[in-house]
Amino acid sequence: MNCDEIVSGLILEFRRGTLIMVVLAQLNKPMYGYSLVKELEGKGISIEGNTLYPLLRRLESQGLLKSEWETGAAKPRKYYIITEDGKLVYKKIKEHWKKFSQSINVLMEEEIDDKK
Amino acid sequence: MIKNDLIDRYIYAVTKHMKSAMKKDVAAELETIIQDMLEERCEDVTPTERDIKVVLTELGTPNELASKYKGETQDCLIGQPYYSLYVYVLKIVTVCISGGMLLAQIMAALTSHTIWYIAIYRTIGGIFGGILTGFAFVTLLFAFFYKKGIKVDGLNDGIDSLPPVPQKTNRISKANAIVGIAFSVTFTLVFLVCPQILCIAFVKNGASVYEPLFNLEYIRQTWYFILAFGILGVARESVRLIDGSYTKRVMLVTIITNLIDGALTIIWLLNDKIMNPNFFEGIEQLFGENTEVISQVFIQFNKVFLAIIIFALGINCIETVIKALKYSRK
Repeated sequence: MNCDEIVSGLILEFRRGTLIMVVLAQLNKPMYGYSLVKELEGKGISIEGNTLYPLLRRLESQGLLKSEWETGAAKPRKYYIITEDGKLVYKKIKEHWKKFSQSINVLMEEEIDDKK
Repeated sequence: MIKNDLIDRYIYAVTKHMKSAMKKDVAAELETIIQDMLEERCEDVTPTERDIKVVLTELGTPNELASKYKGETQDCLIGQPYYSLYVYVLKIVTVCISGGMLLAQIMAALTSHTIWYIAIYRTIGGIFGGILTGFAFVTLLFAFFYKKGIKVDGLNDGIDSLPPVPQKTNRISKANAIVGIAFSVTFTLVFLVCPQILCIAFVKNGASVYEPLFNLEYIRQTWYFILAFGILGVARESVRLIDGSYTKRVMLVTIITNLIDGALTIIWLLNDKIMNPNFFEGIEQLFGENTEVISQVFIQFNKVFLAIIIFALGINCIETVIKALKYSRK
């Protein structure tokens, strides 16, 4: 059994599942792709650009985000912001996440108690 | 903004199979992302070629990024980078088969006096069967390539082997290449399936007679020549389609295929067996005995046909060589 490989695969699955929630949480204010990468990095969540940029576009096509090109500055940038539908989806998954993580935490603590 | 050929080629490789509206937007966004990454990496210093390569490598290979934009996973029969090329080839094959089969079936129906509804039934059946065979063949071929990871031309994926962005002047239009493939497939199908459609119709002893231009027996015996013409034509146009511009490879393939094509055409056409002797009788019946000029043209038809083909192959060769040499120097 290759333990490291299995663990990195599982971590990848965790990240994939929670990434949308993380992105929606950050886009209450308009941000462009690279600034979002940096913002998340600063908060301890590293995300690769080649995962984030396609994800932003996919969330936009699902109507959870909207975008606008800012051409006034020296460099044209595409800014993303959460939509009303996005806020609704975020609210629901946040509630679900809280309940789910609480249950998982209880489960883990039970396991620790059993070992004692 | 830093302008760099490698960045342009990378963006082109990522977006080349996207729909035009998405292509423009993704290209513009990628451009600013790459610029941001370079600025952070190099700050006030001008980025070197190595910096650009590091940043592009960080973004992933063009095909990886393209498949993420399309939201594709790898658990499939044909995944990226093969999928884009597969769809592309499938479209061409479907168009060629539909066109070729439609033409061949219509011509066959017209010359065989089949009842109209049976002719329609056969035409639809022929087209459907042809498309299905083509679809199965292309799908199996690409599924095999994908599973085995076989390298196929047009799938360059490393940062170092990105294809150049075609310029407007040296670009070979896709439409031209597709028309070329369709022509080759149609020619092959017509000559293999129903060479009798190239005929003359006249009335003899009160009955309609269809006299083919070519000696059908000879055409059937030399089926491998016809198949070779078709394969050479499809090969030449496919390389043009994949490269999309006058590259050295296009030049080389054009020279080789045209030379073989020319030599085979000479062997195939320059003999006494190719023409149907009864055809000239039909010409006389149709135009009367005083049509010596027309008869002469048709008697020499194989030579006239040969001259046209050799001329067209020569022009095609010269044009390709001149353009390929001219643009490769630039």
